[in-house]
Amino acid sequence: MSRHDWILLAGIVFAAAIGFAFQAFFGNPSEDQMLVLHLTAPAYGSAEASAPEDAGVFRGIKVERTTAEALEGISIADLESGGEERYWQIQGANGPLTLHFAPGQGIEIIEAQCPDQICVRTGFIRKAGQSIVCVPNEVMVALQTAEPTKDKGDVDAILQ
Amino acid sequence: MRGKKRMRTSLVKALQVASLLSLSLCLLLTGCGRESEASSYSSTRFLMGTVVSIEIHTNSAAKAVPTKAQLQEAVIGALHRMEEVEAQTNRYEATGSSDCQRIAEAAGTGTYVPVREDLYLLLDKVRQRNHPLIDLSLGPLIDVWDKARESETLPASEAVAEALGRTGMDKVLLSREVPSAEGKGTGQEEDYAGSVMLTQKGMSLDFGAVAKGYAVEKAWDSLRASGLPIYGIINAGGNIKTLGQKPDGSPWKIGITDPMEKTQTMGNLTLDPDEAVATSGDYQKYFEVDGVRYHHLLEPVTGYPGMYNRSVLIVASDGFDTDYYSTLLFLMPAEEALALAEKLPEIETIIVSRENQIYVSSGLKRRIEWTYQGGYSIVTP
Repeated sequence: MSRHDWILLAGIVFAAAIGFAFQAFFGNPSEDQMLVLHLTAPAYGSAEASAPEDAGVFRGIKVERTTAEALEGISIADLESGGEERYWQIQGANGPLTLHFAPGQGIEIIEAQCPDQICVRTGFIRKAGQSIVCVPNEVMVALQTAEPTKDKGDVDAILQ
Repeated sequence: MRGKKRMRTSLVKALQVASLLSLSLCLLLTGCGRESEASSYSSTRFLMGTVVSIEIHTNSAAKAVPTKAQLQEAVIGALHRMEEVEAQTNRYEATGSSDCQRIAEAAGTGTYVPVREDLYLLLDKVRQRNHPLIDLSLGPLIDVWDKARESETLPASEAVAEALGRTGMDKVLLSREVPSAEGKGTGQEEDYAGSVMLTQKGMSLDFGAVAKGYAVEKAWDSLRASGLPIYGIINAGGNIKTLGQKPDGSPWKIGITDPMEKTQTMGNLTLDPDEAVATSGDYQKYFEVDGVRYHHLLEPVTGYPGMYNRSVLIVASDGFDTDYYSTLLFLMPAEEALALAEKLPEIETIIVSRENQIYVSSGLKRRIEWTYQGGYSIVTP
């Protein structure tokens, strides 16, 4: 092969590499930015959900995850922009917890049967990687992307 | 003519080579993508009074790639190991049958209660270090402050003094012998590692100062013992340990919670492979009266929450050490705490004092990147 061929070949490979790199970094933006509300609670409704494979086997607690769509029709787009303000209840280990959705502000827990009220004090969450936890009730409300391991941004973990 | 033709054939060849190359590149890339997706496993659970999550990934250089089932087994095994520690040390167990609760029940009756290895080791380690600020017999005092937190009112000083009278490591007796009458025929005999007696009625043990760090260490041991080519991270809220190295060789990066604004982080800390970190903070569990924060980190001599600091972070290779020293240093004046950390080669620390001054031990100065927006000042000795 002549020098030109090598240049041509190198050019094609380079272009392909750029293309792949571009796709690797910027591919499927719509999927990456889609937020999912994960709700973890003891004995939460079993109809919806992409339950993890080991759900339900641990300490006798039934753990389910469900998307926001299952929660009386709240969509994640509503979190950031509009939608209707609403309240709903979920069952925790100690009793009901009241969740509040406020358009443009996010989701918060406003009432819970627990001694420390840490969940209530957390306030609103609205970004991927954020969560509200109520340990006594074994309830966690978490906002995640399709790839939750990348939600933490440039850190690998948060030390509480 | 000939030259042109030769050029054309080689152009065709080049195109063939290029398309082959890009096809294999394509297969390689998508193949890798799928593989790395399938070779991760994570699980999150409520354990030891907090949210525990374990996340592992397969090393891409591994010759024998573990199956998803093997990864799952490793993570669940590690979580179960933590559950075992909890089953021994938990004093809030609903059934009232944890080792810790059985010991409290027999307090003051003059009988040794058989206990399993984890609880025995924790008591033994703390006794050997013998520091007056780390006391695992604070149960009665913690009960008083738990009630205070629920009602958001300060406890009567008499109640604190009375509870304090039922504490003290000198009243905790530890024996490697297991009373022969106990555990016979229950099938648990082999599990017992020793026995414990509390000499005064109304005493109880509380392992909050050390149990989580120890449990994280045991979970880490369990993941290592799986023998799988994995790396990952164990996060139990205020206690973290890394497992192995990330594939790109970069250090692990941990966001540190801002004690003044606990949904935010105040900086990022790098961790080496197989290194642990823990924080004790006044923002983790507290109530406020007249603008003063009363938190869960109690000073064993006065019976009141430690008032010197907002948070103390400890880095060490052992999870137990990070938990033990974060509690200990939290209860000391910041400058004294920093001096102690500088003396101990096994730990490094970051202390945020109540006056919002930050003290960093020499080994962490280059490993921390601050991101807070004012409100703190860094003390450089």
